[in-house]
Amino acid sequence: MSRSGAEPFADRALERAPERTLEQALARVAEFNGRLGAFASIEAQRARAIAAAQAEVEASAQPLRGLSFAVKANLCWRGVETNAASAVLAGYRAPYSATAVERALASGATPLGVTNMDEFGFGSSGENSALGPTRNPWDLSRSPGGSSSGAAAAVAAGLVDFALGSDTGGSVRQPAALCGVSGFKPSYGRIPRWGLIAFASSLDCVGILAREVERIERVLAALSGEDPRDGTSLAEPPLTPLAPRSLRGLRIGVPREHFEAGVDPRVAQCVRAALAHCEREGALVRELELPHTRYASPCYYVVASAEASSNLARYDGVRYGARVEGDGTLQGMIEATRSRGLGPEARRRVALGSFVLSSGYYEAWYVHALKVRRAIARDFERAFESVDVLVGPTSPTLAFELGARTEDPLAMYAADVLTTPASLAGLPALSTPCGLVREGSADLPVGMQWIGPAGADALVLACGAAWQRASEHHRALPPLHASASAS
Amino acid sequence: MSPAQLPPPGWKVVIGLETHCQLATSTKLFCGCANQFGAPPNTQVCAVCSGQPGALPQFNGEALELGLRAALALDARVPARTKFDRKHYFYCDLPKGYQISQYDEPLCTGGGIALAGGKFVRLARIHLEEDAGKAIHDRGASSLVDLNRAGVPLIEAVTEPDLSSPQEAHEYLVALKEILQFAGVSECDMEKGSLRCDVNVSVQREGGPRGVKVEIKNLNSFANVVAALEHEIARQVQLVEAGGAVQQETRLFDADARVTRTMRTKEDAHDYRYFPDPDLPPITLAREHVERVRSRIPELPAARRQRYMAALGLSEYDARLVTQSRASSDWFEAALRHSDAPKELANWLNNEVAALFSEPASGVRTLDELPFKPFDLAELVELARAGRVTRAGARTILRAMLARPLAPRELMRELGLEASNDAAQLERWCREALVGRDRIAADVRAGQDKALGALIGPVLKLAGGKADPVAVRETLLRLIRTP
Amino acid sequence: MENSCADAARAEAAIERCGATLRGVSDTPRNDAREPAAPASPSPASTALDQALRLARLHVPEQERAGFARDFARVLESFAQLRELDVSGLEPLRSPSTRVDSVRDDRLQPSLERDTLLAGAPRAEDGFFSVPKTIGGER
Repeated sequence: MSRSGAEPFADRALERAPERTLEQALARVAEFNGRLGAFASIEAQRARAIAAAQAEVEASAQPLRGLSFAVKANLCWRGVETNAASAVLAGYRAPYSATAVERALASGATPLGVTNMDEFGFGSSGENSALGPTRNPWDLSRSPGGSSSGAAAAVAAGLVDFALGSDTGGSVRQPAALCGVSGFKPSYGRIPRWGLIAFASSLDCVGILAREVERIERVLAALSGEDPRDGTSLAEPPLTPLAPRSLRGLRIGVPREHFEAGVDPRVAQCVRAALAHCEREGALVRELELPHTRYASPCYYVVASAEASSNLARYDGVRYGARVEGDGTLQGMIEATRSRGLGPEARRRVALGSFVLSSGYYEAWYVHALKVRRAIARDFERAFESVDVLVGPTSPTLAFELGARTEDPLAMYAADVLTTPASLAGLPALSTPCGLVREGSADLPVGMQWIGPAGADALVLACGAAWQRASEHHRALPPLHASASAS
Repeated sequence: MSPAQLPPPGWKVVIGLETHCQLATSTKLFCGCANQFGAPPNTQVCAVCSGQPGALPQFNGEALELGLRAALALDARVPARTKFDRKHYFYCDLPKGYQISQYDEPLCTGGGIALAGGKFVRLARIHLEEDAGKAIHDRGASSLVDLNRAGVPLIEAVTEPDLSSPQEAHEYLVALKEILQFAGVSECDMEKGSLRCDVNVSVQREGGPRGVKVEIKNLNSFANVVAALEHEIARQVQLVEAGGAVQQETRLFDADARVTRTMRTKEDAHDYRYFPDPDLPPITLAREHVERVRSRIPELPAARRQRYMAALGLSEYDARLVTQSRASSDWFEAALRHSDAPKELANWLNNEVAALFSEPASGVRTLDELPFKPFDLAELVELARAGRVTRAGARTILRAMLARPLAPRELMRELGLEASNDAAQLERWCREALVGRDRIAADVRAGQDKALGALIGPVLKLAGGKADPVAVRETLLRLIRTP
Repeated sequence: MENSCADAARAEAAIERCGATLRGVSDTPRNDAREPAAPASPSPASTALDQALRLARLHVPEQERAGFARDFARVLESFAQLRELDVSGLEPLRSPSTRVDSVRDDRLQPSLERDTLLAGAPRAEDGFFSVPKTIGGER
């Protein structure tokens, strides 16, 4: 197990000699990316121009000044190719920037490039990408998880200070867990969705990945807050982090179902050990039940596929992206563009979604699933009557080998079983590292998930930060890490 | 088949109308692009209305205001809550692959319009939705897409199948257009495509079972609605009489050939996969809010007509003409503020001013093209009423007002049209006209007053428009009867 | 490979079954808001999968068809466990957002430059997006 020394928070900021450190950061990305496949594009020219412009502004007006970051390929960044790792958007340069990107830039953070992902967010391994897979810095033969695969790998390898991801059913938390970093999915609407290429609009959240939870708190303060361009964004001002707290007196609920069938016993054991640690720190830990947990995954796949089928209807070859002419008719062109432009998993989700919304099936599938969704949300409401937060594993398994699940969609869908419940209910949820498990020749990280009541983002992050002050797991660095680089 | 034969003897016709009407907002339904007709292609388009990845709709509150005005003006029930749904189909002018519309919680239900004959046409519902862009198929080898119209706010008003002839359909549309214009909801300008219709029509034998319904889409003038219905009714009747059966289908009206053609049959009917748009939170319609909207609705045509007749003494005919459009009624009221003679004013507006619009030489076709203002007309009418100018003189001044930006009073002086009230001068003109017309004078003396007309003309001609025909008549009679 | 046909047939039968069993509850076929049209009765050759693919404008090549149908059926069958749950009395949860009345003022905002808008278009012509000739009438 490799451990860095005590790493004072934010010491890798680019502040001290911005030009030189930016060049170093860009050089490290270029050096590592060949092996990792974390970046879809490295935007060196833009990064330099942005950093130069930011240097003109008073540093005190830029709360994220000096932090480098990466943008997931489904967040629009004006003028940069934002293709969501889909062939149907090959060459697409957004004519505008996402709110999250705009706010990060305005806060002084410098973007180094665009990260790889599962196409449109469809996947939990990073392999459903038109750009090729991303590798896990802990073991290059393994997946970093997904869909924010490149974001998690880039943060884990120390290439950026934080990364913007998106989380629809676990796409920030699960790769964060498998790569040994922290990943936060805020309450639904906390970070505006304007400019986030839609997968499932009632579930999509912009999320943040970083090693330290305190850094996530800082970034969230800069990115959150209502945006009139997103009518579903929370009508609240930017979130202020809570004062640092300890775990003493924190009432932690442990959902029994989150340790049941399908959860690797080594993962369960690691999280239980972390819970015991919390207890020693003064937390009040008790088991409870979320009885509808096992319905979360099918419920999620019905709802998310339905919305995806609608959100992906715009990829028709008319206005942007790729076009395949097909038989020369308009409808033939649309069908050929979609059939060739969308990858296998995207086609499957869109077909499933069209099916569950179609005449005769809508009530029995889609509306029924929305009622199940209500039952799942109620489970949480009841649980939070007696506890402050819920804690369990983030991913049921360790990072798996690339290729291990690509042939079986149900095996892939199983990766989300512990993350989809909070997504369906719109709750804030954080994954933090809680240990390593030896498998073969590799140490593989385990993540614990902290779920809070709706709107209690600050509490969840304060708990995660307290955990990190009480533990060392987040300091564990993978074999492939920038700190090992000569440059 | 001529309209006189509709509905054909022994047959009953059942018609329902769906009318799309663009709302008179400044911006589109879900983005800040201009809602304005006639701009160069694709110049009023942004990330939202072109369906860029990641763009989200932002609902225009003014569209809600105007939609609610329509609902209230048509006496509909407004629910406590409404929401938007996505309606999916693929076409090159539909940027997102779905149209944001309303499915099961429309803006309002019920209401309707009373036709002149007393029939009440019930509305099923009115909902808000966005317009699609425009595809052009008659230029070159490709179809061309202009998205300026994409996202323009529409209301769709759907009637119950209460109409039983093309004429009733026409009457309903005229009334609907009037109401929407007066309520400030829409310009309802068919030339700009801001009002469009789909019709549903079936025929059945008197006392027979209900007929199979055919839909005809995209009728962009009232005349086309009537023509399409007439054609389609005839087609269905002939088909059934020949032993055939009407197919449930959607047809398109070919305005040039004046026939309808199959567009799609029931087999390939769309499955629109409606579901609530997760990007748009529901809209609550609190009573107080709805009442505030009601208080902002301008007076509607029926109420104006009533007031013009009761308070201003206009004939029903004049009242109806003045209120035939919001523009005309507003113009009339603006002029009225400078006049004490509403009847004369209405008369001038309906006759003399309206006549200008049918004269190509006038260069004006509508009220807003007039170079003069309502108070100018009020002044002219006042001059004529006070006898300062003859009616013929006033007509001349009216035409002069088209060419020169001067007040009627000034034009009157400049053109020397001030009516003469000089009795001596009038008598001189009359005497001059009588010279050599003894036979006519004799006829008048013999009691044939009609003969007088042959004398008045020459006098007026001699006076060059300055003589008042009534005064001329009186003077002539006096001169002839008292030699 | 010789099994693929049988596989495909089995998968498609499973999809139909899922459709049929789940269709049970009071589901009004939807086509148009105004009048519930007759359910689109698929011709015998058309399966639920075909229908879904047609609606989504997706074409699955013949050689991938069996695999696609098999996966599609398996996923649908995994959804079927939702039916175990009695959801009576539960309101559908459409979105975690509790917002209502997100409205904006009717104020002009700049549109995109036309060149920017058309720059990414697969084909543009005279300021228009250009697409294969179509006779129109979809709407």
